[in-house]
Amino acid sequence: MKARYTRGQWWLLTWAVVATGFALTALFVARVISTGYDHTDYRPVKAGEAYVTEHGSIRLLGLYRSRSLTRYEDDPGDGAVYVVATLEASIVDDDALVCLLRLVQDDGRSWAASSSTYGDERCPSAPTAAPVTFAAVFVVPEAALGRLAGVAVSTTSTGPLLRPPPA
Amino acid sequence: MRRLATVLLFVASCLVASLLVSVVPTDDTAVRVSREVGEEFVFEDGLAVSARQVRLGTVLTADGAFVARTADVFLVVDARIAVRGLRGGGTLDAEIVSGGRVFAARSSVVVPQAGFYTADAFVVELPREALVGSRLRLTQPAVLTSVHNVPEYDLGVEQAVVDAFAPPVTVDVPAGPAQQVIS
Repeated sequence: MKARYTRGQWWLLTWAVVATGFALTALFVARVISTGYDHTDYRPVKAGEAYVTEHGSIRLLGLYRSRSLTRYEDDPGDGAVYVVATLEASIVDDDALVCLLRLVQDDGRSWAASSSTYGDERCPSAPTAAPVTFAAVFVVPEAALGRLAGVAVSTTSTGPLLRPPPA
Repeated sequence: MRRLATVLLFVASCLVASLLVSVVPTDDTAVRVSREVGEEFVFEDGLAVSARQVRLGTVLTADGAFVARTADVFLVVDARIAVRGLRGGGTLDAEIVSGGRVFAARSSVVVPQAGFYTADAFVVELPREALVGSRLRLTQPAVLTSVHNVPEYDLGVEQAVVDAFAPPVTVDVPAGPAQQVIS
């Protein structure tokens, strides 16, 4: 039976596929890196509702501001304030990365939590028998207070955005 | 006919591949932007850095506490690091380039959160003969090293300064610089 393609044709086809795959991968990497700085495509969760996956769930209970915290000796500094986010999390398995929290402003500007251990409970990283309520502390410029959008559960700028319950 | 189509497909794929690969940043695509001490450089993500002052010493202290002593020289570059972009955090790496040699900083500098700045210092240990003509290069750690243009500060260290340098001299740096709101 005669082969459909000669050996040389297979070689060329293979190289064509490899070259195209490499090019598409390179394009994807370049796009991710070049847009990574200002890409703020957070996915808002309905106000007060939990973000739920098969690994666990997390909900924002409230956002509070303060110039001082009883368990912190340091002042946040001139022009800065503490923002305390209270959250409730349930962990099903170790893949639930609920502790990667960022406070997000309406334009995508964000701040990493300076602590997620404020209060009696810390952000759970292991499976929990019942929902755990904990607090995360952020230090932000005072000017951001009127523009806070919520708490993102991710280190990237494409994660779910938890929003506080309606007042 | 089939062979011709295959060859054309291969050639087209190579052309597309070379075109697409050309948009990926590499070491060669980084532009080293010259700056003088006192001038500011802003990275593409809004991280603004300005080298403020150059100091030399042989004993390094942090907020007055002894850190290290050297038989060479500690070159200290005081800098202001401000985050005007959407997100801060992470680190900023530094190295001194002098006469074709590269000297890494003792440690990276921590970048403050968005909307804040810190007054910190880059510390590099290098031989005395490398001081004249030395340049400070700052980079942000990245998957591909040259995503950003990078600043290269001409530190302006002259031979007369090196000749006048008489150890032991203590240089003090901030141990843990506090971040302050950008006004």
